[in-house]
Amino acid sequence: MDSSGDVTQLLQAYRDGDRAAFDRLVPLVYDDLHRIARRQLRGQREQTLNTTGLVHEAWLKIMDGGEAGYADRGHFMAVSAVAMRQVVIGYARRHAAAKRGAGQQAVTLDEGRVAIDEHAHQLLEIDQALTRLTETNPRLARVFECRFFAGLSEEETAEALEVSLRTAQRDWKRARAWLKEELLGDSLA
Amino acid sequence: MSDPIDAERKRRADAILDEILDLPPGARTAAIERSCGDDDTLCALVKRLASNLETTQSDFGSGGAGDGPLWDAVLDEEDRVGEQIGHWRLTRELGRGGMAVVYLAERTEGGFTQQVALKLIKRGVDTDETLRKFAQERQIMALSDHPNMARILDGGATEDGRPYFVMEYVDGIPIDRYCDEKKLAVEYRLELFRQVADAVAYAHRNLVIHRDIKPSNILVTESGVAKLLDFGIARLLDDEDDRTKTGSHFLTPAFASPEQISGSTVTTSSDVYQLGLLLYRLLTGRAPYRLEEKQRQALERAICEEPPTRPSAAITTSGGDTKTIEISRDRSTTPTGLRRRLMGDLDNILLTALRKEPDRRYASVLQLAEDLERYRAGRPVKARPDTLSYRLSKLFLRHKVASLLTLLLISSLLAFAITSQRQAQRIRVERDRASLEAETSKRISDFMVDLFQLSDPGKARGNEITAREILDRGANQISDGLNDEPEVRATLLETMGRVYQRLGLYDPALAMIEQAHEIRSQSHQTPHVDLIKSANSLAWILEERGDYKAAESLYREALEIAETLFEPPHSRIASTQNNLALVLTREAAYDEAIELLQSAIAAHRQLDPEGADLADALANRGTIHRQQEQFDEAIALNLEALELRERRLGPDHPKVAISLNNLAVIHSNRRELEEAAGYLRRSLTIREKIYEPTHPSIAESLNNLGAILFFQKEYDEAIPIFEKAVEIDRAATGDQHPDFGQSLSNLGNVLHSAERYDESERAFRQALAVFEAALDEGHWQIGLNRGNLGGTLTQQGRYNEAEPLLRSCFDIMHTTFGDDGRRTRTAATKLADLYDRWDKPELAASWRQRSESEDSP
Repeated sequence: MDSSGDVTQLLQAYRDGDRAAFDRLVPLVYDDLHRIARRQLRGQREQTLNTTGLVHEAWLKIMDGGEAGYADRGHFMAVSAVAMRQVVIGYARRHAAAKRGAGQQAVTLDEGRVAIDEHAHQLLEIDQALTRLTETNPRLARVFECRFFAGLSEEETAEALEVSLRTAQRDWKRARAWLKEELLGDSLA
Repeated sequence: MSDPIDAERKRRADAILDEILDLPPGARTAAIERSCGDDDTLCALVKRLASNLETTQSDFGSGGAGDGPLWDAVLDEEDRVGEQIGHWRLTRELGRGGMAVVYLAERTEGGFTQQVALKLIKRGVDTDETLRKFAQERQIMALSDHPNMARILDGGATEDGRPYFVMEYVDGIPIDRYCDEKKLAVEYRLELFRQVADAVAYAHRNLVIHRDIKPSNILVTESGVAKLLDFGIARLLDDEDDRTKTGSHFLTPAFASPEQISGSTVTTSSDVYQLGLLLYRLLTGRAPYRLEEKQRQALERAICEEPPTRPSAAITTSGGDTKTIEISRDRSTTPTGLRRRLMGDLDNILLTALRKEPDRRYASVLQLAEDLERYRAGRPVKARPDTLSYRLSKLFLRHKVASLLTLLLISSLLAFAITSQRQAQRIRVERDRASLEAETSKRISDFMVDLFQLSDPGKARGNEITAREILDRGANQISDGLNDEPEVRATLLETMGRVYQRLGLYDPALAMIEQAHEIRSQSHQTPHVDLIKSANSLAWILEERGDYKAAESLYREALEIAETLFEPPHSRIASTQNNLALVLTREAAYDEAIELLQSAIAAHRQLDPEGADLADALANRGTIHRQQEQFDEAIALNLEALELRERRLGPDHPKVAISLNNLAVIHSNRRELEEAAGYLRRSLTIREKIYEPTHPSIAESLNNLGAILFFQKEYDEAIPIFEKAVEIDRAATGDQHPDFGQSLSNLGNVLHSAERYDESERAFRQALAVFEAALDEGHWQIGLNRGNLGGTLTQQGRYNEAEPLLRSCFDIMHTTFGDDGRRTRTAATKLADLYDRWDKPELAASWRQRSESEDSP
């Protein structure tokens, strides 16, 4: 099912100020990302997702299909970040159903590679911590989504969230400080 | 205890964080305290957040292969270079592991600088627990020097409560890399390994288990001294509670022992296993399990269940496999050379150390080291390869017992087949024959091991492969290969066919045995002993399918050949006589059958008085006794057969079950229900143990049990049992087999007694149809079933229909059993009952007379 036409329409609407369009975009993009992700994972033995690549690939698909302008790219990235989180956490949930374990492998966050198998549980905890952060400051959580789950660069993050680069950088610092607190906070109380 | 941190506070904290973000670190604290006022909780929170900011981290985007766990990747890395911890100043980072960071540290005192390695436990580990245990484990600190251990010098906790250890600084590289870089040959690797084993043995003597032996934990200095690191620390920090809570950061799956993975008790034997892994890697350059899938679950399953690859087998000598060439070059040899060195003793030593069960490994590291020393000195080593049956039984760990027994059956049949093959070819020099036998049985055993090799661990089918699937796989393999060795092929086909038969799968069995017979007939123009075997097999299966006539003629053919080739008494002649007698019994040709059996029994008593063949002949003779209602003789012979079988074949053998079943039937014929039930239960137990639930033997036992219940008038219990038996028989033998007819007949009887006449009529009709098709007119079972059907029709008041049937029944019984036969009298009784109800008193009276005799109960 080719949804790129819908996506571009919705992006257009979103650009024109229709906030609700954003919500309708997420599931569509999710489908695309999910499909691409599944294709990617099927080929690999170790279950890693190249999240940046995924998002870019999905964007290219949208671009090819419709009349999406470059101005929409940022919006698309923003939606993708939300959708990517869902994709990754979805996979993590399935893999976390297996025996609890650790022996973590190296996690390199360059290029947004997220090794799922070994870190399924940690990813779920991050997800939960992120949800708690959303209550405190939603924009920080969005920044984290962009950087971590979608693997967007600082600039792309700023573009996606329509803030200045500097703001995106500061937010990223604060987001990490909060994540650390949320993840470890319980043991300190 | 502080107040819970609510959402509002958090928002305020975030706002304050935003304000101070751009302030220099020094100025933050004051600013925080100003903004928070007297809200202590808030203050503490913001301070924490601020300190989180403090920890430096190189750009998230760049940074190569950071070796920290996910915690660190998300949270900022900690870098404490330059700090002072205890006496030590951290000068640089040496490396990072799953739970700790190792720094190079130094202490300068009196002009002398001492360098050590300081291992600092990371944040995130439950530090209170660790500190507590650390205090308890002082004995580790008290370990005196061993040249191959990195000594632990000091330990403590930092100001923020993080434990650390100070160890002797080892300037070296991991042992596997060291060996490869220096291109050490096998001997030198063993030397190095011995050093490691020494250290571990020493620690065991001091009651410390390492638990984390892997190449990265063993450094070798430039001068070639191996040092074991992290000693006892794994045990220190890993403990029952920790394992569940923290999810065991400490366990590296690829290097874990099976008991570590399954969470069983870890003993010094676990270290033996890990040493085995280490040596395996040092010698072969790879891991013992196929670890292409790095998925944790598959890996753990492989470690716990999959047998390790034989070290010599891990070195492929065929083709130009570059990896193997590289590995051999790192060991200063060629692939062939390496393989040869590993074959035999080193193989066995490694496999012993790598056994799944701790108590099957070397009992101690010392013993492992001693065996290696024996190997080095050219003396015989103590390690032994796994016996074939052990290996195969391990492969079947998850299979039903039926598969195992089938396998043992196959192996014994095959072994017999091969041996008799060899014996037939008499013109062989002693030496040749011995090596050929060894080779053939090895080939067979390899074939079987291949045959039963488990499929990929990734298959999600669940834990059972049925015996059927294994057989099918094997059947395919036989069909495909061995075209230029008709003898072997025929033997294998026949053997497989017999196994199928035992599983009750008659169609494929027949096909295979026919094929075998065909091959043999073509190979041998003149009478040949193999033809006897396949003729027997073929006949047997035809008999099992109910084709008695065809079976009979094949048996006669086999007997002819046997009598041509051999001088009586000979076991082949006797066995064939036995088989022929059996089918004749089924056809009720008792006289000739008895003759044959007498001859067979006499022969067997002479040739092998304790043997299973004698038991067979005795049992069959007993069956005829029973059919002719000579119950005492029947019991005696069957008891003798049972005893022979139990002794020769073991208590859980199908033939033992048959004997028990036979005894049950006899006792039940005599209405001795308790004895019958006892034997029956024993028989059923055995059968349920060794067969799949749809095996016809089970149907037979069920039939008999149902019969007992029937005699005890427990109709409600009996009916479902018979129904089950009917279904099994239908599925197993098809609906034309006399056994199926028997089941139906039994079912009909019980339904009749339960007065469910419509159902019993249906059953009896069906049964009668089966018997009429399968047997000759005049066979007593046809008569019996006509009588049954007639009886039901009588009860239903359909007297016209009943009469001819009952008459026929009587005629047949009278011919077969004479005037006084029990069955004859029963038939007469039925007719009397019919005429009673039909209101024909004269006929009734006359039949009543014929149904009575002096001993009538």
